[in-house]
Amino acid sequence: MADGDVIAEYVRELEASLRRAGRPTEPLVEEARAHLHEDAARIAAAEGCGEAEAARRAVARFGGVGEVVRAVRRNTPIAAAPLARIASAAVLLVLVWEVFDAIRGGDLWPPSGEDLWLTFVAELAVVSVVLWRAVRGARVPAWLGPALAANGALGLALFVAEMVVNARLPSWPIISVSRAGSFTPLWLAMAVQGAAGLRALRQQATQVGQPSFPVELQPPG
Amino acid sequence: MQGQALKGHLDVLLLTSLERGPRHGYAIIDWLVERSGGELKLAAGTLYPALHRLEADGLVRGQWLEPPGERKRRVYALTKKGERALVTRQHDWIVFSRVMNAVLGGANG
Repeated sequence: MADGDVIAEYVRELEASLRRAGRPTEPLVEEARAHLHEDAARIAAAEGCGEAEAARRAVARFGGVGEVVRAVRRNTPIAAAPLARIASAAVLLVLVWEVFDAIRGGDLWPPSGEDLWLTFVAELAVVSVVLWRAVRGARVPAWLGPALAANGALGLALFVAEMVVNARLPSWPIISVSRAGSFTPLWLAMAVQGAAGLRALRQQATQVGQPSFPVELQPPG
Repeated sequence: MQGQALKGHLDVLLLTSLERGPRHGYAIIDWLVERSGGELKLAAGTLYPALHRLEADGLVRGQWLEPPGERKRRVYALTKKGERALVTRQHDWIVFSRVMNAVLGGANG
């Protein structure tokens, strides 16, 4: 098997494995190809071995496909994190809109159904900020998981209530307020934030205890 | 020396390797081997994903280059954010190593 064949086969396998793992293939695959050809050329020049043997050694030094894919998994941001951030950003935007609306209307007191709702959104915003920090690697407070679960479930319940049983609960404050203002996107954001946030936290938790990177050390000499 | 012992310090090693100018992955590996007296030999297959993570974090910037007559390579350079991070992490390392030396040295005393 020629130099190019060994390297091409390795690169094909690497690309296929990355696709199966749902990870981006570029620039790693192209970089691996360039690195392997350079390494094989150096090995051949330094040790005087044939091209095929040099290519095999270069591939062995690069690391097995499984190791590389594991390294990519360790270094790629967790898949649910971007969704959790987007959902958190959506909730924060709604909060800003609510505060602006309240200031403009000047009806913060006595509390109305909408003020109650504002308080509820503020709590969501706190969760969003903490979740945002958590998916960026900050320490995860113990209450974040239950809060995400509660908010997610509540968001889903309110969404279902608004969509399905709205007519049966005409006097329920949150439903009546939401019907007036159409807060469906908020309920959905809460549900997605809860689900994506919990998934992100779970994925983060499974990474605890593993090295953040693999380093292969060779004994000197 | 175990790879686990370096857990958490790969980033500062990679950032330091780019401190004096851009390098490609191969050159980074060579630099680490040379600077460590042969003790540190990173597998390329695990180096590149770490570089890509630093790039995603905005600490380094990668760019394909193909000078005439040479192989195509992806060259990495520190960003401004990376330069700031390097200063912070090098300082953290100095403090950490000083503390470890003090504690381990004290254990024999």
